[in-house]
Amino acid sequence: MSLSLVVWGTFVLAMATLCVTYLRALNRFRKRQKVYQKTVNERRHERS
Amino acid sequence: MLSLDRDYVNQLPLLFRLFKPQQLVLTLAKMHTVSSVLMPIALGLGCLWSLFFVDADSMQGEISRLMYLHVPAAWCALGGYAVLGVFSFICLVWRTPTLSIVTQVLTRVVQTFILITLATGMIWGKFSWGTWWVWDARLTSMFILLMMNTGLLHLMGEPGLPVDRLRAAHIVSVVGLVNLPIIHFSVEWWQTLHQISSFSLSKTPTIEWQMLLPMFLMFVGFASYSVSMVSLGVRGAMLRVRTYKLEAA
Repeated sequence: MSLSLVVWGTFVLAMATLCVTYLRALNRFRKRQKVYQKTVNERRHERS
Repeated sequence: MLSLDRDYVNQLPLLFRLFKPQQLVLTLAKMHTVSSVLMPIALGLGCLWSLFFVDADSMQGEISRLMYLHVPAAWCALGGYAVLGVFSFICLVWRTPTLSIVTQVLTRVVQTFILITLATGMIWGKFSWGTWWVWDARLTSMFILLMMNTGLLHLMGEPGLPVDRLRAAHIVSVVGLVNLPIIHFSVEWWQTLHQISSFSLSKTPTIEWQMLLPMFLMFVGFASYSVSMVSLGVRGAMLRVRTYKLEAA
């Protein structure tokens, strides 16, 4: 097995790990933002 | 004795003025924009530099390029755990719920970096030592850190934890701090297959600046990733609390 391939594969895997974990955290945060916004809108609607 | 100690701690307003945990958490929450821009730039440049612009080591060849992942990941794992331990200690003494959110997110970030360090180290070891794993002092102490952090992940991995479980997790992470100097000095205290440190804050580095620069870039990228993750976690937790308050009102 070529050493360059091993090195490239490891770099790609490591970066993919960081990318996936970061995007998952961002997605979770955006979902919470939506839930919060929905609750705020519901409360406003109830008050009006 | 415990109440006496707590009274003593409560009589230290200067410490509160110097270090405001709530302020620190809010600052971390605001840092997301900067860190999320810095992260791809630093990691992109770091990867390009390490793969294309630095010569491979004359003895080890291409596989030595794994150093640019392995070393910064190890710095972030150990540095992240040190911050986790210190914050856990503050949570235990001053009972600051906002900082415990940071410790929960940091546990996940540290776990990622420990796994990257061990995985890249194993691959590097297979091609330079001829084996995936040896039970030498550096590898074993790092493995113990992985086990401790995995335990911590299970203890405080979910939101809305009971206080007792969170306090137990904080005690474990403070105890785990003992392992950090063991990991760092293991290559000096014992004879190991792992090489001695090439980089120290107190000594002139024994490696060329052309190799240090991509390592530094990767470190900045990893550190920005950590800050981004903590920031997202803290902001998410703040939103959750606000939503609960609105629903309860």
